Amino acid sequence: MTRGKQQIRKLVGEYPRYGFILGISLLFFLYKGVSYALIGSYLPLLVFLGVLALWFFGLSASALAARRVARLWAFVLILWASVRLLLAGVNQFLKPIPEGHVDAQLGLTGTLLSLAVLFCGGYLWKFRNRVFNQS
Amino acid sequence: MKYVCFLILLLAASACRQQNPTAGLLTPALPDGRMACQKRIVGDLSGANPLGNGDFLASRWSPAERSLARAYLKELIGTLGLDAREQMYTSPNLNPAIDLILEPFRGTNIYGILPATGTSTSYLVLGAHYDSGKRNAPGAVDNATGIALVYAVVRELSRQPVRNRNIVLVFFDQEEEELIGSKAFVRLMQKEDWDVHSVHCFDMVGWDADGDRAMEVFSADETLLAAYRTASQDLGHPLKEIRINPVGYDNNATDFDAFVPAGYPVIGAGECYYHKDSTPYKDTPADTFETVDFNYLLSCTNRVATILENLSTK
Repeated sequence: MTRGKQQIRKLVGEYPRYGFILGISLLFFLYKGVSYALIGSYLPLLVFLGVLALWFFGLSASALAARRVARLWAFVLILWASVRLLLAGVNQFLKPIPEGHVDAQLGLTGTLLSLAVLFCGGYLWKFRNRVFNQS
Repeated sequence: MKYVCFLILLLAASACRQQNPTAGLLTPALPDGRMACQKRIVGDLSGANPLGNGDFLASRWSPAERSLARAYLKELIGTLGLDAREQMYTSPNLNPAIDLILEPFRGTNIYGILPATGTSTSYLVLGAHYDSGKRNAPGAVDNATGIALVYAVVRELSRQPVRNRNIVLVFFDQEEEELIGSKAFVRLMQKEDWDVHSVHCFDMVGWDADGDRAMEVFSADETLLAAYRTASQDLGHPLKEIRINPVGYDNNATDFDAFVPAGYPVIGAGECYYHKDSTPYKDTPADTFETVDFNYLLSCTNRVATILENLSTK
């Protein structure tokens, strides 16, 4: 069995919660990438494929590499959510954003989504060392 | 984990909130007189009148307000005996980097097709946007007046015994957000492969401070400019022409601009925005029903009706 497969088995078997949150976060950005690609914007899908390639590399290479990829992905999630929460805060409390379609996605649903992603990022960051240890 | 489940449930619940605009927004029925009808439409769309369900359309900016406006416009098209169609579209953000953070544009154009009285594959397209520019802007001049003009002209055309072209009336969504709606409609026209004779876009037709009844038009098409010029001369109203160069044209100011790069014969018309006789209340809460010059709107409507009658019977 390759190292990558071993790592994925370990994720699913020993750390199902971590594996679930990682899977959900990747699926969410896969959905975004595909839905944007269908309307002619390929950057989100390219970024997702880049992240996926990093995960494959990280899981196949070593525990250290996997930890670094997990750290990077968690950072990206936290950054993504923070930017959206910051925009929502500015829109709500400081200066309303003039674009209707931006305003619409920074409401309750958008904020809950950002919080969910922030939670995922925080969780992946916090437990990355325990999940991707040397053993 | 329970927090994640709670968040997912909350997300699902908030995403499932549906706007379900009530039918019967256009009650009582529209008056038959052209000016009375236009006053009613502009009043309904800019919150001066209550809609049939008791709601007021104070603005047409947020998704909920635009959804209510769409329901109204569908009923409006229905009064012409036409099937009101929706073109739902999704468009990426203008900067691809924003796609990484935000959702794409989602909107809906509303349109109807008045068929030719005989057999024809030719189409005349009349359009006006229905969204308003800013939060709490009633958008009476910008652009309830454009909608009222298009409606009155198509109603007139529907009463003609002979029409040699199909007439499309379309109300664009999200003009105020970089012409997203009209650009989506261009894609629909290309997909449908309509043989389009010409496109006529109307934006802001309710301000005439100097009382000269002048209408401003912009186009690259000499035939269309000549048609507007001739009708204006016959009616004795000034026409202020702006001839644009379609080569490398890259404006994003009004729906007209979306049709130029696609190569359609298009003309944009309205009050004298570039000649400095235009509402000072654009995109503000003061763009109200009371500021609309309905005599000016009527004079422009009569002029456009004359032009379109000629074009549709050719």
